[in-house]
Amino acid sequence: MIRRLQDGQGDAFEQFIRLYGPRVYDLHCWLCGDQTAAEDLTQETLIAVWRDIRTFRGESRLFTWVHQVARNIALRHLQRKRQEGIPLEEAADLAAPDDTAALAQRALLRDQVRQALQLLPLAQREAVALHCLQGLSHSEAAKALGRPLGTVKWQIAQGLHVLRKALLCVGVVQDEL
Amino acid sequence: MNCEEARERVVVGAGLLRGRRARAHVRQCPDCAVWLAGVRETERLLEALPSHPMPSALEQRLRDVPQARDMRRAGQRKGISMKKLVVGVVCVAVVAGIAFAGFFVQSSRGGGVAWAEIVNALRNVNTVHMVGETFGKENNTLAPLSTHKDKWIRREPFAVYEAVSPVNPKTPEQATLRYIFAGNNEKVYWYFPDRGNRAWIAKGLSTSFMDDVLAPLALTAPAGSEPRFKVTGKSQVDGRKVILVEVSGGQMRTVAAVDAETKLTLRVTQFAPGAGGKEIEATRLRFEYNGTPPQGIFDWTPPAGATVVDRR
Repeated sequence: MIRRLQDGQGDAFEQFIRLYGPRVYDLHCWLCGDQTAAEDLTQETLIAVWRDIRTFRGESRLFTWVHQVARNIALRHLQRKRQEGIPLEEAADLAAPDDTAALAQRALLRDQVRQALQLLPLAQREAVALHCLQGLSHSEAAKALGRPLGTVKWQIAQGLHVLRKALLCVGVVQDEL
Repeated sequence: MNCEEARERVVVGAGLLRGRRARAHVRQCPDCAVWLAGVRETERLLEALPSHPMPSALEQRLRDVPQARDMRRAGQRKGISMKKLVVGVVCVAVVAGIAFAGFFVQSSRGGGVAWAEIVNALRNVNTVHMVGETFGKENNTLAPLSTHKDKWIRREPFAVYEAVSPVNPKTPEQATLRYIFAGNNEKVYWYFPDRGNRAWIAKGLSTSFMDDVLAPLALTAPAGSEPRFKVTGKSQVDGRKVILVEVSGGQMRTVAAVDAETKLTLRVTQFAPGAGGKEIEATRLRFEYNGTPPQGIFDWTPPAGATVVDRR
């Protein structure tokens, strides 16, 4: 697929979208907390990858490289937002999908966690999103973030601790410990 | 050693001696024990969260990117002015919009499934298909299954059962169907029907699998073709109300009866090519809600050279 992408074949791009689009969109949702902005950022990321795919030399997994591109674009977006003084997004649209109660409950929980995640410092948020929400191993996350493994592990633990406190405050989790 | 140091060493990992001291501290210190348990519990909570489904409009927008590029290139080659190009694109968009609206209305009249749901299912069909390809060809590992959008599998023991079915395929299309289970002997996390046309649904998960329900249907369309879904009406199967969904995209036509309540596919009927084509085969699926699959159903030998990633 990489070779076909590098050759600029349209069907390879479609395959690429199917494979990576949902994950990139999910990552942007977690990182910037705003699903509308995540759409634009996903588009920007996937087009950037397609445009620059010739520079991909296969030194890492394509997946890791795509994450790096996505992360850089998300950082630029967050920086721009800070500079422009745009307030953090209001609580997400919590309207449950018209499916089942179980699905709605999980979607609601996901939205609450997404909001709480925005309270974390960016470094921790990235590490938590990549490892706990995107399923990257510690070492893959460290590689994608360009940080030492130990640092990433510690950022994840600290991030989860802060996140737990935030979720306790809003009653998403109960303090049973 | 203070609490902060001990926690960091336990999380990050330290040399044998320091690590032992840190672990001993965390075990004995009530604050640290609570801290560590909280971190682990939050991690588990996050891992079980569903992904954000990518909006279908975004996917369509992305799919159009190569076409837009080709048009731009063609425009540049033929010396078409930007103004003409914009007018052309707007015209195409208007026509596409009308066609889309027409199809939407038609689908909405046909049954109770929203167009968005069908599009969503179609999108995830491709995801499922890709998992299979990646598993077999790209990096020769089972990891992609474990990083499927529902992340429940990742750190639990799991096995994969895969088969080509039906046992006696009547058409080449049928012979290419894939039947996959992923799970352990207590739960099935993700499924296709097995040879006996039975599937076990994990407790509490059965109705949240709309995305995967139509997945096997898309595989009935010939490779390389773009499967299309259309709601054609309502009916009953085994006394349950079902929505009839037609899958087309190649010569074969398939009609699936999808349970209106649980969204599980109860019957799949294939028709011979051509208008009014004869019924070739009907497949019935029997679901055992919260049932326990028999021992050994997940016995499976990975293909030669495959890497089994076990992250227990």
